[in-house]
Amino acid sequence: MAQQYYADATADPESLLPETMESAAPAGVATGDYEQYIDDHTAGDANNNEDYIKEMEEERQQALAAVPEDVKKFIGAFHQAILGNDSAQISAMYEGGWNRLTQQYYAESEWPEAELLAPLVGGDQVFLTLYRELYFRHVYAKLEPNVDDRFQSYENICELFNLLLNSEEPVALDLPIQWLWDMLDEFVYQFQSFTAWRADIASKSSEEQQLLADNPQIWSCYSVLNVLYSLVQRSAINEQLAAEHAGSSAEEVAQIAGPYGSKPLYRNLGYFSLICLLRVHLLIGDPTLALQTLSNVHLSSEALFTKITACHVSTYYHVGFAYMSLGRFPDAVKAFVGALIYFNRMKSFHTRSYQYGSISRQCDRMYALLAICTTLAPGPVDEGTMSAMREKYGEQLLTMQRGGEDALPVYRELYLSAAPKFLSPIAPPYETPDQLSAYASESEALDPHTRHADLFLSGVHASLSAPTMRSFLKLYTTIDAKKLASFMDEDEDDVLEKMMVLKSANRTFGSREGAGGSLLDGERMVVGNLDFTINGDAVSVAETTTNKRYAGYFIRNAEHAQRVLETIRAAPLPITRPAGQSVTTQGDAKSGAAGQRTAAGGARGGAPVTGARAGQTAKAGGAAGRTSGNPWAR
Amino acid sequence: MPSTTSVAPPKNAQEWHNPSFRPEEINALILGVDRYNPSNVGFLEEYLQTQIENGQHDLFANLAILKLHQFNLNMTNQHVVIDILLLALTSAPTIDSQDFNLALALALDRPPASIIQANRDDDDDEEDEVALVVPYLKKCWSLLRECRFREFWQCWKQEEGEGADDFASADEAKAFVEGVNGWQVSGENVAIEGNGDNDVKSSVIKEHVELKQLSKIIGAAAV
Repeated sequence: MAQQYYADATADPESLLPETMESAAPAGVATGDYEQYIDDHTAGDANNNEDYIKEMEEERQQALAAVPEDVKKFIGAFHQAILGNDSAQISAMYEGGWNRLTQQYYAESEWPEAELLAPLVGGDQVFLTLYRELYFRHVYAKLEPNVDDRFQSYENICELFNLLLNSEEPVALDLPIQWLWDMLDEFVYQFQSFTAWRADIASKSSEEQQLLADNPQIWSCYSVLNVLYSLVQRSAINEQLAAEHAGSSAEEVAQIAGPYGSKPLYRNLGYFSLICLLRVHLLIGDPTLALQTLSNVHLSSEALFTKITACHVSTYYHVGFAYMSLGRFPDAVKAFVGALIYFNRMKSFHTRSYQYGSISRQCDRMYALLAICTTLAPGPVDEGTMSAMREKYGEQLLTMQRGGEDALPVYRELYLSAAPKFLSPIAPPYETPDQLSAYASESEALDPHTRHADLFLSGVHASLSAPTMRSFLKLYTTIDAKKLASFMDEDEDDVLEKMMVLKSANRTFGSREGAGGSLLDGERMVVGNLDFTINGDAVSVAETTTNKRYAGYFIRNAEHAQRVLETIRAAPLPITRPAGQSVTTQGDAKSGAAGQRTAAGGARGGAPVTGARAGQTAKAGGAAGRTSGNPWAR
Repeated sequence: MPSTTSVAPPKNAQEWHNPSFRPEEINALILGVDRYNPSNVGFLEEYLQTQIENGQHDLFANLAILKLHQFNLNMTNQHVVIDILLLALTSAPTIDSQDFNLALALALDRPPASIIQANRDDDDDEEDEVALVVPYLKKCWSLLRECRFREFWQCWKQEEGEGADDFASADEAKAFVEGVNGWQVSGENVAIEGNGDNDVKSSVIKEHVELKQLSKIIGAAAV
């Protein structure tokens, strides 16, 4: 029924908000499958807060009256959409309506408290928990969360996960994957933010110190990992993915998944938990474990994580960074370049998203890391990505490529700005205040971010002499070691040691294309195009030359030409025709700078956003559509 | 050092992340959530001792010990930490190995020295050995990584004192070298047979186009 009510709401959900909530609530939906949990929760709340509720009731009603009508309507409709598991409607309200109302009414303040809105949704605790999740996310993103926000957001998200994990049967709730990803991503972000905040002892008031001392479990690393692992286990996601890769049928996978894992809600939460575990393990300094958690997630373009831009970019950023920590630079480069190419292609569709800023910052970090990796392990890399990187970090790249001690500060600066914000699971000893000041004075030296940077740079330091050695050897095919030493103005033994450094800097492990299996698998490989052998005193240089690659260029351009041809064919002829006939697919061709490629891509029917816009333009009518849709006009 | 030492670098990372000698129980333990269970630490520590006795190294199992230490501050078995670091340092198959740094990253995630001191039992007067040993190990490892082998041996011998001396005679040195797979002494020189790293040849990489890359173009042409 809900489905029916919102049948044409997908086009523009906000304009179709129901006038009165009573009539909008389809009978029967309110007694949804998860009603039992609602009962549990209202009962619990009432016991705890009875006095408080009575006291505040009047004040609340006044406050509720002050909430804008738009917002009340939105909340009511949102509640109905969720009760009806109407995913199209939920998506539209989650991605559109919420942000629009935020901009309009809550750009600089909190959304109304969940308790205030309870009467609008019949006290539905599941909905209110979901609402609070959005509420706190807004506080973290746009405002400054205070200690209460931090504690309550933790309690709220735990309540939500508790509800999902500890129910007697799967909760009949279906949320869009974008929301599920955002929810878990935010969960890790808030954990990260809390840990950093907790580590800063100087800024804590005595009340805050007391709160932290009394509640060590809040946002503790253990509890965060516990939530993520529980979601993984509840959904049997690892078993499901393994079965899928082994080629099991859908029925067999559902069998393995069990009653929970076969529900999209649980399956998706489990899947995204794996990605979040990758991130958490990396943050606490364990890149091997990070990659290990993804052993059943194949990094392919069909994988679920690629369906969400933020998740796609985040996954590759963290995988790439983990490889970098293992000294596997070619694998890191592959991960970064893949994500960057993808992002540059998708950019034009996402500028509206509120996450656009953070995704594009993450991409900037990847360019910086790419500069480091391609310097340490030179090799062929996608030209477009490399030139974009040079635009951003050209100067730093040159300094690093020259090598020597001068390069070290540049490496450090790039690493510190581009690495994830490492953290330590160890909390300051708030429970023993007399140790606090000693801790504060010493802990600076132990800052996890600097500690990891130091470790990484110790590796870089070892190979600082490689670029010089490489450029010397490039000049010869064979040379006597003594002669080389005299050219370099160094002792022969020192030169031999530096040659060993180069030898080792040129070697690493790299995963083989399409090999599948664990991300930790890899084969010994040589990077860079220069190698050498030493026989007695004679050094022979072996250079690997790579023929220039033409195929990619020709394929890209042939495909492009094909698309242009298609566009032209599909476009109306530049002659006058009776109005209305010619407007078919090219309504959005005018969308400017992105150019033909985007227009053609949209027209071939990929992205819904473009599709919708095309439809609107078409409706907007004849003449404009005709001239602007005409490729000849440009 | 057993005479069967192989000096050729491993061909792939399989033995590194999933060594063939790792017992099934340990494997199940470190791949599951049970790795966070503090009561398993003894089990993992026993396995560490087995590795040391057999001249093996299972980094992933040892990182699981360090992870337990990271999460359980009362679990500070300093000798275990030092053993793990030493084993990672001495077992690195190649100098580009990250094992030592990976272990160090977790081992150094500990509260400041004063807190460790304050939380220690009074009757327990041992020093913070990890803090004492780590700088030395770091120095040794960085000398190795920079291939400054002569300085490394000086540094190593300085600490080890007697017993870590040079070979007693040329014959003993020869015997050691010949014991290593693929090494031969010929006069003054040691000849090392081809191992993939010392017999490289110039080559030309040609472009290779897969049919898959052309699928769009061919598809379009077929319409």
